[in-house]
Amino acid sequence: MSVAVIGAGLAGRAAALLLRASGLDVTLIDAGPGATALGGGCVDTAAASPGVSWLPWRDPLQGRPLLPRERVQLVVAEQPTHPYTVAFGSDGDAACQAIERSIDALRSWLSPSGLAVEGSLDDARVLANLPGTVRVADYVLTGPSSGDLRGREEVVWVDVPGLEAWDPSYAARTLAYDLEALGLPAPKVRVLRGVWPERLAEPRVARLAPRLDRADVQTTLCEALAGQGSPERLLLVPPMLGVDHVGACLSRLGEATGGAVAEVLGHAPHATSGFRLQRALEQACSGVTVRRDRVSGLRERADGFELQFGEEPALDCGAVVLATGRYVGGGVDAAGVVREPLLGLPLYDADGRRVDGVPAHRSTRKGYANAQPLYSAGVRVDPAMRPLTARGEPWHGRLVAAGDLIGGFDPARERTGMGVALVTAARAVETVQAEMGHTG
Amino acid sequence: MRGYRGFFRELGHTGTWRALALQFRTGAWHVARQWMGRKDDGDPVARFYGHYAADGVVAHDPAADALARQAQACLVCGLCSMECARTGSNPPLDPRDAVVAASRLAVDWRRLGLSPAEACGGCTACESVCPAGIPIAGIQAHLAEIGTRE
Amino acid sequence: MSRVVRTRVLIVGGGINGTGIARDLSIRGIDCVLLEKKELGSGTSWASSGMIHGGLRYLQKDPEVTLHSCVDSGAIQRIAPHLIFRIPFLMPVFRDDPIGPEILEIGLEMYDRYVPFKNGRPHGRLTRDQALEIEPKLSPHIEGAFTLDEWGVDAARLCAANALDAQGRGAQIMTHAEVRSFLRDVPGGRVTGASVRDRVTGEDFVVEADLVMNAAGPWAPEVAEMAGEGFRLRPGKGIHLVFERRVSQMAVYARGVDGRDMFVFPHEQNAMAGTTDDDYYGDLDRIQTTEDEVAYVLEAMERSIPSIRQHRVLHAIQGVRPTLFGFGAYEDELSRDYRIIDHGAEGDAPGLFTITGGKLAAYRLMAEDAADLVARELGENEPCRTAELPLPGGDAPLDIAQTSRRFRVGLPAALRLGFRHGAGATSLLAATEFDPSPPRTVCACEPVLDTELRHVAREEGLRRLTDCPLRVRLGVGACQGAGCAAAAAAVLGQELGWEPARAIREATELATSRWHDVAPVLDGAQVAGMEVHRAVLFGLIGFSESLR
Repeated sequence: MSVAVIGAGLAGRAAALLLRASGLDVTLIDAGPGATALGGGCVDTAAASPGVSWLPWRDPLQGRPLLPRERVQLVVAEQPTHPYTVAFGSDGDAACQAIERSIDALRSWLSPSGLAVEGSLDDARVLANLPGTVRVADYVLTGPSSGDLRGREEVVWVDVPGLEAWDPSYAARTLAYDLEALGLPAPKVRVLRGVWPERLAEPRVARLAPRLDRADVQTTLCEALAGQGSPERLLLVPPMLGVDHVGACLSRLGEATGGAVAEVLGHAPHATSGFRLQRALEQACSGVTVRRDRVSGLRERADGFELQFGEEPALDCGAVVLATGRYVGGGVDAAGVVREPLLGLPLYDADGRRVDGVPAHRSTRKGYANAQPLYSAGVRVDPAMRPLTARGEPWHGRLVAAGDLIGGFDPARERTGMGVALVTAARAVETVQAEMGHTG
Repeated sequence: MRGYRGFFRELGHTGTWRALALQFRTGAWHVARQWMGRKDDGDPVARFYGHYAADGVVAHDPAADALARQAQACLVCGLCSMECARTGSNPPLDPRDAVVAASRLAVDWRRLGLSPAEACGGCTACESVCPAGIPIAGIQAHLAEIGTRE
Repeated sequence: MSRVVRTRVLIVGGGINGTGIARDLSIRGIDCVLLEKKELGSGTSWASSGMIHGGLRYLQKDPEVTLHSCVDSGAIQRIAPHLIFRIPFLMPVFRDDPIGPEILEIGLEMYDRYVPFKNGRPHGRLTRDQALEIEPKLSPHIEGAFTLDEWGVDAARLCAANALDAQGRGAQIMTHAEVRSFLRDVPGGRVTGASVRDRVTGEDFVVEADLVMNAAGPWAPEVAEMAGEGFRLRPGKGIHLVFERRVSQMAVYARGVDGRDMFVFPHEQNAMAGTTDDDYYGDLDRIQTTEDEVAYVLEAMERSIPSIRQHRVLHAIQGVRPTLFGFGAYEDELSRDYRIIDHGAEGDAPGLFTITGGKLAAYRLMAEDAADLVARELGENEPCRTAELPLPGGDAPLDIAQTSRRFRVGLPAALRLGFRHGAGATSLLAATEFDPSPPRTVCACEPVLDTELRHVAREEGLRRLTDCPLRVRLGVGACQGAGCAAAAAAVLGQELGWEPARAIREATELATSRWHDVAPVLDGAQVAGMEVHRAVLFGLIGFSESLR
């Protein structure tokens, strides 16, 4: 009997790849991209963004920024509903090891696409966002990953005339301000004007980025930026250095400029990095059976499950990994009342309160930046990642969940979403292996 | 007489003698016309479109309606633009703009006799990456068609 | 010693009444200063349905009012043709309606006498099947339907257009300027001006005037109170739901469970549904849409359009009407009439006048009335000319296709600028005509160009990012500012000389104010929309107080 993975974002694809590696027969049900494809380039695992979460940004005694590893420790110590805590209890070291193992696996999946995952839990990178604000990250994808601002003498924003949302002079000022606000040594920040080739004029990042996959276009850009870099100088460009060949584009630019070149972190609707990640994951799954469809129903059978697809033929499987995401992915539906559409699983927020069965707006609070129960809601799982019923029992021994569908944490505020996707997928796969009598 | 329910209630709201006179005059004429078996000139539906065609109102199109219903789930994430450019297309109206503005453009373009120069190629690559499953190519085709419709 | 601004008339309140009066006085050559404590039109005007209607409702009470309304609607069409759009209406008739179709049609036949004055079409009568052919979304339970039409306008833009015209004729328009107290020549004597605080810079200054016109809408009693004057309003709260896209090509009438008339109508890319009318006793500066109001509106809409709940609601708009006080009547039956109070004659504050009540559609007439009185008081006898002179941009139509080509902007952007700025779009875009690159899109939802944002900051006195939803409709589309808050803050930061810290704070406040309008109606696809919103904005801007 095969295993069905429902959901084709980071969690679902990680689960599918791990299951296939262990020799199980997998079918990945892909209903289109979700939150993974909208990411800005950080592979968030350790709440490493300043000022975002309930975590302190600095060590209160020593005054230095907390390392990602220390922040994971704080997460499992202080947030009992977080999936890390559910999986590892208060053992922060185990959580960190699981994150590191997962990142290694991710690296092996993405490397054929030329996409690297750089960083570690023992170092916090400081990166620039599109408008010039600063973001601290643990793991970063190729593109923005070379843009660490620490230790730079000079940071140069490359002007791209007419590009939507790209405002280099104000971004440069914002960057200088934000680094100072974080108490980080500020490099000299300036704007490089008048060098952008007219041939590369585009109104949108989304239209520009794919063009940079072509070698001749890369050459044009290399010629325009030739000699503009130096070892101490970082050139920042919009998230536009190709979709499928960003690695090649970056290394050519590095050679031509003679210095470091990096993309800033982009966000939807300029989320080139997320799009790259999604494509690289799809490529990694080329050996996995993928069914491009949306599951309309899930039935329990004597020997497993039946997945229904509306009018299309059903699929029988022995185990199911639910990696359907939250609202964007469709794992949680909010039309009328909030509910998990496939099984009607109960949903809980970070404080352990039920949010399903009532209208979405009732689970909101005043103040945009405050904790919003609606956005920390998801299914509750046991340490083996089996979704629990309202009575606290696993819904089924061979039904597991992974990724954002699991509640108890707020990916936007807490910045652990990618780590949760990877770690819960790994744990869920272990459960499936054990249940199917399979030991990889 | 059911059609005349609310007569006394409405009469009670009359504010001035002038209003009363106007109501009685119009009402008497109306009753007489109904009683004689009124004949309105022409088809009321055609008359309606005649009145409002210049404002962009056209006959209801169930296909357009279905497109709009799906398009409203747009997250403005920009993946359609990126995939569109990746496949080498460059339509006159960016897919993201088409989805976001379709319901207004459909009316206003008709009103002003405008349309994008031509439809996109219809390769539907954009649709394969849309997290909301929006039939983007269909919307492009619908908007382009407006300019060519009589 | 604080700065002193000297003028003849001080107008308090930058809604449609205040800006309308400022324009009227300026055209008559009477110098005036307008103070608005937030943004132009941010109170009742923004929360209105934006209808320049002909006053069908007033026919029974007084046909004279309908006549004036229709004539004035025609006048507004002449002076601001670019801002105005026709909204065809469908009025479905149900078997259980309290008023029968014949009675309704008699009303519409009466109305037909007046609609030519506002360039309207005569009403039409449709059978059930004909109505369903025109709009299949209508309930199958209808008996038939009537058709008519009214005119819509972007009320916030109408306020801005009036203010701009006044400013062009010498008036001073000050937003985010709050009256702190009134000046009297002797204690208890004539009101001779006000001491004012600029809420952005914190600067205190003084405006000296011969006469003060209080046009603060629902805040008018608070303002009058500062001069020791008391009068009562019966404030009525109203909300609208804003849908992601147009529900229908037409507006559709609906009846609330209590029998009140409501409608859902197209507005820019969106549709709006409303409105409610409930006595309001809360904080005028913190009005929140509640769950029961949303349910009430949707219930009413569902009766006419059963599928209404499948349409995505983006956000709510809420406001309070400055209705004249009346005891013992239901909210809806209160007079929509207006009053001008001379606090010298009726109280002990000579030099202070209050205009209150009324409706958006009659703003020009009300302003004329108020300006006539002011002119008389000041001994001026210039006549009103607001019905003849066009509002800014209303003098000639804009060629959309040509504008798009000449200024290198997309057709949707050109179309939108034509609506908002009319002929003024040409001079607006000319600022960047010869730049090496075409104008950039800041907000993709509408789409708003950086050129327009710079223009309103430079020429129209825009002062805050949180004013942009009103002034340029930025951040009110599908993404609610996720894609544009940071970019727009940067553009305004450059234009207005903000430090980056200020720009970040403005973006934060925009996000917070959008959440205030969105949270009460969060449902369906909008929940996913705000999930992206949070991921983007928490990533771009930290929201920690300790850090920033």
